[in-house]
Amino acid sequence: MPDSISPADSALARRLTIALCAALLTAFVWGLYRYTANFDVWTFEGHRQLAMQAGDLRAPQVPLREMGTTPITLWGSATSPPAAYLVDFIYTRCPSVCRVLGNEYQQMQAQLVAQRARNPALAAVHLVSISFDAEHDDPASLREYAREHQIDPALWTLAMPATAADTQALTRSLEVIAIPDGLGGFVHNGAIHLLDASGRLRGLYEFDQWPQALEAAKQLATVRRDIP
Amino acid sequence: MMHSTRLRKPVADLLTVLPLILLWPTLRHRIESQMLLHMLVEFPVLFAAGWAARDLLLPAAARRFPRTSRVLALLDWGGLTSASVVTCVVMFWMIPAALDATLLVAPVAAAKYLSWWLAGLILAGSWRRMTPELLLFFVGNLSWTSATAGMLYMDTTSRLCANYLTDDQSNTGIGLVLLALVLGALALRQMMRLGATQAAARRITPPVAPAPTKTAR
Repeated sequence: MPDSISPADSALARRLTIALCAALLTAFVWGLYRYTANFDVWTFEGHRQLAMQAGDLRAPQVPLREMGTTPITLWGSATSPPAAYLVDFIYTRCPSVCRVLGNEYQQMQAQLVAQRARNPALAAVHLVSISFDAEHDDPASLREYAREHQIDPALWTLAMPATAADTQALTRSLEVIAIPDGLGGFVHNGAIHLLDASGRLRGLYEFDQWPQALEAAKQLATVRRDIP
Repeated sequence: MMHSTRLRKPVADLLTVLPLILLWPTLRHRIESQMLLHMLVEFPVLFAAGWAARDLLLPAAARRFPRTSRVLALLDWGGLTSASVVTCVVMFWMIPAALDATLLVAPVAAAKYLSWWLAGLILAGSWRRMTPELLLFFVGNLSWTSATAGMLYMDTTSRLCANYLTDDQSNTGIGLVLLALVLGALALRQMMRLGATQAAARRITPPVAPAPTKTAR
């Protein structure tokens, strides 16, 4: 297909095209540099970490149902006493990761019980497990999960959002994505979320990093207590 | 030839409107919930739709704006601008974070649909303007990009995209590597054609006659 330009215009076309390509490629590389945070972050989880570090992720104060029945609100309330929440998202039918997380939470609960007498700041640390599977997790299955993991409600709250819209608002705000695993369950990103009293996400930890998560929660609670 | 022309028009028309099926939320969700279908069906369909739309849009654009063809030729000398745009589009949508963002942020999804469609549209009009060398470089570069992303998706055991499972990620990696092989084969074919054309040109060119020299009578 011949170009619709005369041979005399060919030199002009060459110059214009080269300038346009140079501008285009420069803009692309610059945009990529910004988007990937200096060519360093290429995944959603990486971007989530950056957003957390910038303080951009904050859980809204959605209405929750403790054990699927009792209305409660956690972070963001002027009356909420704890200063550090360690939050995970579960579904009680989960055969793998959530079970592991439940075990880690059991260990964190045991540590909180053992260390509270020596360290009053730990009273400001609270464990929270939130079910996102409203379709299957009824009060009975939540009770069974609580019994199985020996949950002490004074230290560890097991709850689910009041409505599907609340679940979506909560998971969206923390950029938690749960997808079907093809076997009737779910796979989701993120394990332990450290939230401050206002609901702002302060730390993200894998389930095997629970000692670090607990330590960070202690530090956050201590700092909060020191603020008059 | 006639038969071929009759066949091509309906196929082109069908390809042009095919992306409209993505307006059906259930089907769109079905396609985009699987990485393999998202990257190796939806992207090519959008690209092919843009490619097919050129024959419908360009005559109308030329009638309305008579200088369209000249402007395009001035800004896309030898197809260089088109090759650059398509390369940028392909590279960007191979990034795992970008793929996730299309499922979570509506404007990013719109940018994805539009960019793939435009990539097809502009390449359909410009690839014939490319020199064989540029075409070879361009297709080879796409093949390299696809192979690199494919091997990354195949080899990484953790989930690179929050919206997809590792098995799906691995299958997509295999698909991208196969696509790279197809593109590589096309580039090779192009290279062999180029070699044959140059060899034929050398055979056809008559030998240069020696300049006449003055001889003493």
